[in-house]
Amino acid sequence: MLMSLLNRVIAVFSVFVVCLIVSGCSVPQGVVAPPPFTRGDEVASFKPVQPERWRLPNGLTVLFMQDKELPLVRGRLFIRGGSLWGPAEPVGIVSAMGDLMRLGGAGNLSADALDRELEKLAAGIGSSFGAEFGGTSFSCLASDFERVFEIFSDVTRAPRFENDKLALWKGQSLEGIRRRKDDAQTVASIAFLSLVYGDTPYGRVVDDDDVRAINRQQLFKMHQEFVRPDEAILVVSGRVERDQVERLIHKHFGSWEPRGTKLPPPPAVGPPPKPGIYFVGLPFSQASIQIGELGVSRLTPDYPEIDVFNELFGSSGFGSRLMNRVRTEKGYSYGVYGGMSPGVVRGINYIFLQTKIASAVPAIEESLKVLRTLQEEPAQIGEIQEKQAAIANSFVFNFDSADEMAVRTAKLELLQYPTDYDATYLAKIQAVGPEMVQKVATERWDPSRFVMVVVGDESAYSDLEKATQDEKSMLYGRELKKLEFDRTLLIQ
Amino acid sequence: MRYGSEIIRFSRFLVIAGVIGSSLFLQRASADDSASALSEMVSKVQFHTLDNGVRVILYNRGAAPVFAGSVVVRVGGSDELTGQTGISHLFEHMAFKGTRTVGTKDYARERELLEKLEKIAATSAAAQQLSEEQRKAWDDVHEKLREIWISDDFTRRYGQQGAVGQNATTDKEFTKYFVNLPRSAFEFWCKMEADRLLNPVMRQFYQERDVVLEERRMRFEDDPGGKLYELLLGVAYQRHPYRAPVIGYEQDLRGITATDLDAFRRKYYVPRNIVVSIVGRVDVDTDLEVIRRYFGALPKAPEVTRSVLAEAEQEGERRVSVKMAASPQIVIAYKKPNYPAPDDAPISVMAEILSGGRISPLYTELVKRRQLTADISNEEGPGVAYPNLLMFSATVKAPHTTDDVLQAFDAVIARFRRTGATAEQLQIAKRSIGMEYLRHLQSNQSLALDFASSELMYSSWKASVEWYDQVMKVTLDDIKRVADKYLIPETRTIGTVERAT
Repeated sequence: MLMSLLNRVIAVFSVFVVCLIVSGCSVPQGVVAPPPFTRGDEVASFKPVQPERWRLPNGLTVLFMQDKELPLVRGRLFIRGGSLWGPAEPVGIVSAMGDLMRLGGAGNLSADALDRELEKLAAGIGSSFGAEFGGTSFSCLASDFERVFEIFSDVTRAPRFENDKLALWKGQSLEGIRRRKDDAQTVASIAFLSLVYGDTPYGRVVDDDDVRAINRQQLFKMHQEFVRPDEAILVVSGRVERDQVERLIHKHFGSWEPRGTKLPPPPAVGPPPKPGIYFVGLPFSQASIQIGELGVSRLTPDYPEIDVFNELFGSSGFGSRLMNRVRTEKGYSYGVYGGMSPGVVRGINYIFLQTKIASAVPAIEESLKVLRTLQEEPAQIGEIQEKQAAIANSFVFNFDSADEMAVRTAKLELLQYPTDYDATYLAKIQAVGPEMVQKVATERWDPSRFVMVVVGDESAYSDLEKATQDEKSMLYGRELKKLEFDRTLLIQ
Repeated sequence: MRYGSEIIRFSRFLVIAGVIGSSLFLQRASADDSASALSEMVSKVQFHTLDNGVRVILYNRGAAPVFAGSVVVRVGGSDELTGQTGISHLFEHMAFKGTRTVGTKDYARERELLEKLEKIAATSAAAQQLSEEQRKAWDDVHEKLREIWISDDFTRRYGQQGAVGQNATTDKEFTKYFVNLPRSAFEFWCKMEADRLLNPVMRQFYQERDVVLEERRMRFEDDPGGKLYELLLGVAYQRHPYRAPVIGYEQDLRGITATDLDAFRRKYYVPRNIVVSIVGRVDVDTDLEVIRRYFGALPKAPEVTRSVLAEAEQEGERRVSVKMAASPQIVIAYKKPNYPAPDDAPISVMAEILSGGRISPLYTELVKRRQLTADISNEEGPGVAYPNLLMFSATVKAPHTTDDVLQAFDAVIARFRRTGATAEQLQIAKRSIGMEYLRHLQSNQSLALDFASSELMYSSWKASVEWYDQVMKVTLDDIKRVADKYLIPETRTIGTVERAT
């Protein structure tokens, strides 16, 4: 179901926005603090309880955390696999399958009967698939656990994909696509990812024809292919006994057939995108700007210094240099964020902001200057230590509830992080110095490769044009191109 | 009263704990042994009033050494005067700029320079119309200030301590400052929060005013839903301050000076108007003393008095429509009383029945059967202190029009008024409200904010227990009565976005 627009605006206003990063599953990271910032004893000595773990013969891993505070039970099934491994056409078929597992009925329940039963129980069941991961989830009163778990297993293993609900989903999806142009940031984000990743599974965008082409047989086929226990982790937490959980999992997932093989490596990323400024003229009073280039893979050897770099540059909100310069000192933008978002093969290096049309050029220039300074001068040791302390002291929030703890364990495992990730990471972050951070800026970033997407009122175009012809501008000499957007980006 | 009102959500659990009663939900919950756990929760909440009038709520929970700290001030859009809309929110932004000791290298010198800026602002329409000479002086002073300022010092110190999710929000009634911190930063938090209440400095104000104008563009000028909401309130309310946007009108924002903010703070940021609440790892024996040391330093001040223009009774349906380059959507907003009016709870239950889930009559008819809209939802708002609105909003699906949707919507409402709800619908709605609240309880931060705003609005952090009790007592007759009384065209306002051709 599309989120109501009003829902968003009725909410109150905050001093700053939460960054919407394009990457998929983000992994929390932790460190111990270097001097002079030390963590409090109470926090440093906190040893979170580890989830109980067992594995079914079919490969399904179970993580269980009991938590008796509230009479609730939650479950999340994480499955490795997604559109990256899906067919080239129709684009979006794997994600459609993910949505319709829940929406199209399951087991002996028609879609309407399923809705009705869950409403009566005041329980929630969800399903979705993204690029790299997918899965199903439930949440219910502890007293209804047995029944809800049964429905949850049907949604996971025996979806019905009823035709009338497929038609309903199609209509809603088409409306969502039709509305892309109503939101500048959506347009900017689609344009940016299309340009950076090109015609690969990383950059393809669902259009109307894809949605119309989806049929029920394909959904069953995708379900057969992707919804398997081989690389799946089921997390259960709440007020429930292990015996009961074990029994129900055995009953409902014990006979779940494995694929028998692991997923092949993810597809390659295409050639680097053509650098330049890409302008999409639409009647918005603010320019939505997305700048960047292809980035690194997860667990590249320099990941600890990349994490410190991110804090320093622009991923940490008010603490970052980008926010400090572009928002606080210049007043150009409500939100400006930048950093390196690693990907399964190659992620992105990004700078995202919105600003009024008149300040589009100076705001871009200021952002680029912040990066240039990091490339040219090593940061002061104190500033590096401040960021290390921020990472170290917030580390405890990865474990502040039983549920979070279990979910974190599952995510690290699915992202194929080494088992000693946390332990070794501590020392690695502590060893990061100013030169290492500078090296990230110089070796991992190259502004001459940047794709710069600007979405906004036509009048911004002439400002950009002038800047590309002005020797003093940081945009000097960059190619400037106008693009059309109508549901997807139309590249001439 | 459910939306824009986290207050109520918090109350639900208190009721579950304290008033174990008749509803199906409660019976099930007690069967599940939740009653004792929840009673225990409530019995652990500590409430204190400091000598100066600041109220303090402490609640120890959870295994991890972390806490959610919140400071809530009873001020927001509904307190604002014509010509100064947006001042509460603008002040909220400025509360992150530091104090006399945080964010500056030399406060004495800075103060002189800031005074110079304010003198210029006073004679230049809040620095919007600077003469050439003023412009030069303005830039000179700023150049000197830049040498003194330590930008973002306040939030960077928090970051260093391991702060997560630090932010603030402003709505029609409250300004809420909140953050999650490791336990080791407890005293740090008290010190910083008390300092910004006591000694805030309005530095970098004119840059921040521009930031808020950017926020306004993003949320309202360029967002069809945001624009519609602003227009809808402006039509549904003719006199009451609910008519103005919390973020402020652009012209008002441009006219506000740092001096105005100081006056605003002196009036509203006073001890009796502030509640401090902490949920998570709390040491009830020692924490209060630390809190007293810092928050107790706020000087006593007169209570805030409010005189708000009452809204005259609406005498006929109103419509507002905005034409822009965007796909159509519709909001149908009915006037309703606010809590503690006895009709408030039945209206919330009725709204839940009508559009709360995938089997509700509005969802079934508009989304599933006729496929006129992609969704349908309801909210109550825009605030909780004055009579407010029950709003249904829907995203219209092409090729249908807002008129098609309205017609179908009206048919569902007419049928509902004729037949009323079924016993099953009523039971599902109550249960769903209860469950929604249980899920919400999992967050320390929501709890902390709920305690504080409830205390400020109803002079009791437990006040809304009654509301929940009322929800559980709602009968089919109540639903019929409020449907007949409030779901009527005469007191509704319809807002639409129509695509400009």
